[in-house]
Formats: sequence, C-alpha cells, structure tokens
Amino acid sequence: MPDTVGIRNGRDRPDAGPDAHEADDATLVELRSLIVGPDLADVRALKARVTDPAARTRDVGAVLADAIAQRAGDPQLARALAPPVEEAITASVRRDPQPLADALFPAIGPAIRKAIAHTLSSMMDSLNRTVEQSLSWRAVQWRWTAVRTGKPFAEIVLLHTLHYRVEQVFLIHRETGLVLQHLSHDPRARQDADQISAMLTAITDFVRESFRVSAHETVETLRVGDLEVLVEQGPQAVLAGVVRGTTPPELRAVFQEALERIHRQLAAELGAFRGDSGPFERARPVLESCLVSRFREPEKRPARWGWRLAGAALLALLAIWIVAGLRERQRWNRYLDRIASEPGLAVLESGRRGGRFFVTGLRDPLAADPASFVTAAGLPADAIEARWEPYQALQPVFILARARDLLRPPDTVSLTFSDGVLTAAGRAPDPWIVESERLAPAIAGVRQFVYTGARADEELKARIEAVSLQFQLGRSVLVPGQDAAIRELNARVRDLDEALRARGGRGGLAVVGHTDRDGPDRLNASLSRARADVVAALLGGPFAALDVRASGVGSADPLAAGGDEDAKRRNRRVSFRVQLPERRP
Amino acid sequence: MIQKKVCLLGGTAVGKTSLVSRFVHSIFSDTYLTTIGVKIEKKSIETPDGQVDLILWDLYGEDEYQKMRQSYLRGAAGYLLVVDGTRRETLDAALDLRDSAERTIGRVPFVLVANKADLTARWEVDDRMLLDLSLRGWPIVKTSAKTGAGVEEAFGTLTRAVLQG
Repeated sequence: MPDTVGIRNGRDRPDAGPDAHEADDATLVELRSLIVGPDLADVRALKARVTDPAARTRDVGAVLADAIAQRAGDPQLARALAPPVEEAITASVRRDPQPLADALFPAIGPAIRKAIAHTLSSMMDSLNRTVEQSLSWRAVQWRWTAVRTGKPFAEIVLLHTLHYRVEQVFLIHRETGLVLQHLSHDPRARQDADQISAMLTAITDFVRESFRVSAHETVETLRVGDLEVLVEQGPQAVLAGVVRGTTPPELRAVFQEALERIHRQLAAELGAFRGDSGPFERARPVLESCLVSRFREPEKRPARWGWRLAGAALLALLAIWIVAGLRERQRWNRYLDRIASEPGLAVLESGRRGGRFFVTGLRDPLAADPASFVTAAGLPADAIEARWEPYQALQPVFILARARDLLRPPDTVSLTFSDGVLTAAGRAPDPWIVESERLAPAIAGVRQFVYTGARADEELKARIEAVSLQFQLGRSVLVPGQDAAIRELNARVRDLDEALRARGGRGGLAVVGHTDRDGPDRLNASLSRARADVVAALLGGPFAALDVRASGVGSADPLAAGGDEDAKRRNRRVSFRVQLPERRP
Repeated sequence: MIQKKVCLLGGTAVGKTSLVSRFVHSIFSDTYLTTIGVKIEKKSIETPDGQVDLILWDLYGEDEYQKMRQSYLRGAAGYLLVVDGTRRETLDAALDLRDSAERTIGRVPFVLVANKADLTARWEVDDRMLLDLSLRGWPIVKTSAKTGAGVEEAFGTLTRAVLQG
C-alpha cells in the first residue's frame, strides 16, 4: 500500500530534527499528493467497498449467478451448496408447505403417475394370476372369450368388471366453490351446475372437517348408487367428474393430467379470479378429454393366427371324423343290404354296441358265408360281431340244392321246383325215379315229385311194339335175314323185364301172330298161332317181371290193307303188344 | 357472466331460509341445512353491468347443537347478516357472527337484514341501535319474509357493494 510505505520511510530516518521533520513531512505530503494523488480517491473507494459489508454483498451478488453457472459441473460446488439448500427447503416447508407444494404440483404429478402406473401394472399381473387360478363358470366363460377374441385374459376380466361413462365434469374454483366450467352430456344438467359445484365444495369441506383430517387431505371420491363423483384437488381449482359405472384407475390419471394442464395454462386467470368464468372457456378442450366413456362391447379384433389354425385343424378333424363316420355307416348299410338280398340269410337284429357293429340272424347252411360280405363292403374283417343260427330256408334255390344233394340225379336229369312241386326232366332210369319219388317229399318244402322225362319201360314198350317179324307164305317159318331184328328184340325184351323188375311191377308181352287174307280163316287162325309160338319160343324166358303170352288173330288185324302181294307179304307176320303195370300216383 | 359467493348468516330461527325462499332458486332440500349445515341457493341479479349470479350459502344458524362451520365462509365475496327484529338477542348473535366472519375471511361487504319487519307490535330491536350501526357504515335493510318487502333491496345492496369491492 503506498501510504503505508510512505509512513515507514519517514520513520526510517533517525538523523532528522523536528523542524526538518515538519518541513520534510509537508514536502513529503505534497510530493505524495503529486505522485499518488490522482489514484488516492480510487484507493479510498476500493477500501470502502472492501470494508463495507453491504457493498461487498452487492458485488458478490452481481457475480454470484455467473460464478455458480461457471462452476455448475463442479461437484465441490454441489457439495458446498447442498446443506444450505436442504436447510432452506426444510425451513420453507416448516413455515408453510403450500408454496413448495404449489410449485411442485405440475411437475410432481407425472412422476407420481409413473410410479402408480408401475404399481397398477404389478397389481394387474397379480389379478391375472388370481383369476387364472379361479375355476368359476364366469372365469371359464371369460377364458373362452379371451381365446375367441385373442385378447389377454386380464383385459377380458377388466372389460367385464369395468365400464363407465363420465357424464359431467366440473372445474371448480377451490377458494369460492364457484363453477369455472361445466361440461355435460345432458344439456339440462348445465343450469344447476353452479349450485352443484358449491354443494360439492361444501360437502368436501364438511367431510374433511368432520373427520378432522389435515388441510391437504381431501375427499377424492363420493359414491351414490351407480354414480361416482371423482374429485381431483389442485392448488387453485378442483376438477370433479360424475361417473356412471365403475371408475377405472386410469381415469384418475386422466383427471390429474387435465387439472395440471389447466393449472399451467390458466395460472394467471386462476390467481385473478373474481367471479368471471369467461377466461375459463379455454379449459373446455382439456375438460372434454375427461368426458370419456367405456362400454362393455368388446372390440372385434382378428383372432391370432395360431388360434385360427388350431380352429381350422379342429374343424378339419371334425369334418374327417364326420365323413369317416358317414362312410363307415354307408359301408355298414351296404353290408346289411347285401345280406338282405342274399337268400338263406335272415337278419333278426343289427346295430352298434360299444363302438362295434353287431348282427344276429339265421343262416341256411347252404347260404353264402356272410363273413365274406364284410370285407366286400369295405369294412375291416373284425369290424362286425356276427352271430348266425342255422335254419332251413324255403327259397326254391335251397330246396333244389337240398334235392340235388339228397336225390343225386343223373346228369341227364334236370330238377326244377315251383309251388311245392319238384319236377325232374330229362332221361332218368326208373330206379332213380322210383327212389326220388320216395325221398323227395322228405325234403322241406317239397310237396310232390314229378318226373316229366321219358320212362325206360315206355320207351322199350314203343320199340318192342314197333317190331314186326315177317313169315314165309303159308308157313310158320321166318323170312330169312331177320336175325339182327330178332337179336335187337331179345335185348329190348330183357331190358323191359329188368326195368319192370326194378319198379317192382309186372308187365305183359303179347306175341300176336298174323296171316294174309288168303285161305280159310280156320287155317289162318292156327297158322297165325303157330307163327306167334315160334317167336315166343325165340324170346326165351321165362322172365322175372314179364308174362309172355302167344296168340293168333288170323287175318283179322292186317298191317297193310289191300290184296296185292306186297300187302299180303307184309301181313304175314308176328307183332307185339306190351302191357305195362299201372303207376302209383 | 359474473358469479359471486355470498353467505347468509344469522342466529337460529331468524327466518333466513323463509326470507329468501321466495326469491331464490334451490335444487337442494332444507335437510342439508341440518345435516351438513349449509344449503346452496342461487339468486340472479340484474345490474347495469349485466347479470350477476349470487351463489348463496345459506348457513345453519349457530346453536347448542351445531356450530357454524367457518370453512363455509371461505371465498365469500359478501354476506347477509340476518336478525329477527322481534328477538333482540339475535342482533347480539349477528354481531358475534360478523366478528367471526371478519376473522375468517377479512373485511368483505355485508348487509344487515332486520327481518320480520311486518311484526311491528312485537319489534324488540332498538332502532337507535340500528341507527348507531348505520352511522358506523353498516348497510341495514328491513325486510319481511311474509310480504317480501325489502328482500330485493337487501340483495341489490349487497350485490352493488360486492361488485365495488
């Protein structure tokens, strides 16, 4: 410091006397004023600023903001400032919490909502689990709805438990209870809004005072029947919503946000409110966002692909199952039709039992095997449980089959059956015919046996009777050259005897001699008899079943009419008559 | 449109409710008075500046069963102080109420309403006393709930005071 230096210099001179000292001092002062005079005022001013607390405060105050800003990132500064700031806030809150609350209100809302949303989300998970574990019919229905619509199960539960409509909203001046704005779905409600607004304020005051809660705690909800009044308190305004139905938690967040916006947008108007609600028209858009509704009708949303595919697969399986069932039923019916059309099979009962088809009935042993129809109808061999009792069918085909089996007709014979009559046609030996006549009526369904074919004895009779042996004129001697005819005759007669014997009957063979008409009848009679005897002798005998009788008829039974030589020659002969025994009917 | 919150104060049975019932519109029943201590009514006043809606908070007259809730006074732009002219003690009660109101909401316009003016034979309130109050600047209106006399004037006076204040 210059003045301090000057004083020190003066004292450092021990040889100077008092006068000299005074003169020196005056000079020095003068010199000093010459040298430092112009700066002295500044020095004094500086000294004053440094020593005056008020001035220093002003100086520091002028640069404090910049200084802090410059060292904003310095942790040392933050550490240094923290204690006084904390103390300041504490003191402020202790004195009156309202200013800090008012200041924080617009900012703290979102933070709190975030925390609440997180809590609600956890709650929802918990709710989801709880309901998932419940097995009530309603839960099952909801679960099905969730599956059908592809929505999360929890959302379905909420849809059924929450549905609401905000019917009116009141923006109320907190201090006076006067209505600032009112919105309603129902225009008639508007005229009473001011009174309701005031009453709501009175009621919340009443409740708060009645329960002696602190001034910061307020009524949040009033509920009357199906109506709920949601009250959201702000520092200067109150937002109240009349909600019909169940209020969802998120609605409060909507109200909080709306109220915060109104406080931000209309802070000045709220502070200056003196009963004129005009400026609060601006709050209408925000309030309209509070008039929300939520209805029960679930939104139609496309089902998730997975579920669609599963549904389609299920449907396809169902269709396959139905078609397979129909086809199986069709095959079963085909099998039954086949049986019904097959002779010798009679179905008594059929149906389905324990997943398998069954059939019981009667079967002629000669009928086709019904087991072969199972696979023919396209059914697995073991698909049908069948039980067949034996019986004799009376259809012609079975009667004939049994007849063939029993009678064993020769190949030359064909059998037919109609209306109880078994008919044999063709050529059959008499013994077979006889045996058949005896056995056939024993066959079920056969009333009568008829043989329509040629009989052996009758055939033999015709052939024998066709023979005519020629004799020489006037003699009982055969015309030569008839040996073959005679041998043939002998064979046929023996056959006839055998046939008759087989039948068990007896026949007769008349050997009749003839003459021409020449000569006297008496002579002709004896000649004709002689000729018959000759032939009878040729036949041999006796026969077992055939009586041979010789006789002569003279010229009484000529073979050829007329008197010429040829006729006479032909009439000199022996003819045959066969008499067969009577047949049994 | 201007709205103003106005309170109706007075001792028990001074006829507050019957005084205004013919002149105001209310959607609430009188039972609110006895249950929560207030009933809300509305009175529209035409003024040169336009319509003013007075939202009246008809407060239950204080008695041994129920005290007037001070919180109901909050935000009031003014009040009617009602006394029963045939009962002197109601004026004392009104003076107490006025002190109480002033402590709660400060100095706001008010009108002293001396009701039952038609019952002159039974009049008890000393006119000199009213004159004293009047000289102290208190607006005073005599009314009759029976005839309706003075009621509109009382509301008009208060409204003007409130709008000026």
